[in-house]
Amino acid sequence: MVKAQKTKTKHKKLEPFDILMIVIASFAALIIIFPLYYVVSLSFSSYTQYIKSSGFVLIPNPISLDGYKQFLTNQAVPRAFLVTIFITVVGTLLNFLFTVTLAYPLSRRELPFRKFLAIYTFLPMIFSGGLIPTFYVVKRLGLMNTVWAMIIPILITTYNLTITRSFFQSIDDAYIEVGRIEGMNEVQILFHVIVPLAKPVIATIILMYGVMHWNTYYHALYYVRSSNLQPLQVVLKGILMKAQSTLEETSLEVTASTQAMKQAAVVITALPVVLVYPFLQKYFTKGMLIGGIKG
Amino acid sequence: MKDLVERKRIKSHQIQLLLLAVPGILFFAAFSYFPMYGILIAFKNFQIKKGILKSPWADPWYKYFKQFFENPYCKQLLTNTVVISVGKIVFNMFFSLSLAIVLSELKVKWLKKSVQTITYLPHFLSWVIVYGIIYALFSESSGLINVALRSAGKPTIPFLTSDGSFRMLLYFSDVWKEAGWGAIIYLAAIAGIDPGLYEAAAVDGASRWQRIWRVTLPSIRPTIIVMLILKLGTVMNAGFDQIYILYNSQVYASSDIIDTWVYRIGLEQLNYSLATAVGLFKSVISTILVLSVNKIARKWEESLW
Repeated sequence: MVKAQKTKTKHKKLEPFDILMIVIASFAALIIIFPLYYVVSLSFSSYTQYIKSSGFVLIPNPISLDGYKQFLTNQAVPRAFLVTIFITVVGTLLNFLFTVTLAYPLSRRELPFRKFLAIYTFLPMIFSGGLIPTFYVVKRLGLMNTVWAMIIPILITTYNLTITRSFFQSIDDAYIEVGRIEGMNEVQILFHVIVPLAKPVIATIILMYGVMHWNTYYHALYYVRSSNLQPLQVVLKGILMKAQSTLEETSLEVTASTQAMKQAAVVITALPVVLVYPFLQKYFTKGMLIGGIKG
Repeated sequence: MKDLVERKRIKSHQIQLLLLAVPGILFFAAFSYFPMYGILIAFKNFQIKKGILKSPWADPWYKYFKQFFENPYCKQLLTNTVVISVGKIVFNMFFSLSLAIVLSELKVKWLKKSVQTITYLPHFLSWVIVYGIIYALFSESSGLINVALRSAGKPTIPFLTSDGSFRMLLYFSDVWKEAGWGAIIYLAAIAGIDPGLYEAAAVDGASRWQRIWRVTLPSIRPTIIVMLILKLGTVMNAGFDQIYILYNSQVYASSDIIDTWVYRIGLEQLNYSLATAVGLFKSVISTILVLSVNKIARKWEESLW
């Protein structure tokens, strides 16, 4: 009864202004959704429908998986998946280890040279040596043309280090003291006390790093020449580009046969990010605001 | 005696903490500090086989800087970089702020939540994915818009290959991808406004529009100004990620920026010294901007609290 009344008053309160806000917000959502929908729709379109409607496929009918088959049987694709999955799993694990082992000491007041180390880790945010000097380091370390070139140069990002450190700082000293009194060493305290207490921020950085690796493109562009080590995003770009150069001057038939495949490639590559996104969303607002205040 | 044991224990934990930080310290040494030393490449006739120390010095030491500034293309690169950056800042802030205000005024909670979920999503998609989407919509041969134009018997528009429309496409795709994400910070600021202010405004008979103009916007002005200032600090970064993936040689005139040029000169044409010099020039300007901009932002915040 009370509930019914409440909704009633709520409805009463909807003024023209509210309607306008609803319209604008829905329009904003539509602007985001429509392109995504169109890409998915194209990816399921069949050759005949594409020809018949001269490329204007808003609802695929019948639903065809040809585009997906064509993409997944592309010679370079399985290998690119392996590379990207390797980078994402191993890279994220290393990111986690390097970030927490640095964030924890930095968060402790008793760390020797703390002030110096705080500046040391902050300075790179303000000034960087640039593309070529970094490239030279990667080359000198023998990382060129290895998967490690896409992992090691980005082991720690300053943003994730900052939010992790500020979260660790907010943890009550008492927990650490108890650990020390029980005879734990600092490694044990970090992994058995701090990390479990900092789950929200750990989840945030793991998801952030994971998405970063899944989307990796530039480090492959800079440091990896051999074609069998190219990650998914690079292969995808290649597929889209190749199709483009032939497409711009050829007929609808050629367009039709590659269009569904290209968009299937886009959908499959985007899918993992879209799937982890709900988990990511749970944490990032908070994480971003911590970072925003500190940075 | 007990004190001594206690002190020893603390000391041991301090050493452990320091040891724990070693991998991270080494990481920064290798990928942030060694590259700073590598800046020497800009002042040498660098040959990769000889290394930094053994490569001969450039003569004069500013040879590569001179080469860049005397290049007629230099002015265009700088203009493109600044124009594209400022354009993106303006468009993005406008749409982020508007979205945040609209969301905060929404009374239907489930709608607010869903619109937030939807508009934040593109931030996590890669630029290659966005390129695929843009291609499906805007390509001249098979993009949705041009297919529609063609079937209506109208001339097609080369969005991706003409200078004017390509820049608009850069702004538009950046707004599409990042405006929702950018709204988060303004939403947080709006959430922090004292509800009493709105009640007082309502008592005074202010309409909803007036409340936005008189209460919401003035209350979050500090956030808006600080965000604007901070963004101006990164004006030399027009977005290599986006532009490198979206552009092509037909639109270099309007959208080749310092970073894309440095990449082509350095890693495609292997002119390491010139690319390092231009990169250094950019880094120095960026650093000066960031530092002065932070100082201004801090002054602003201080004068407010």
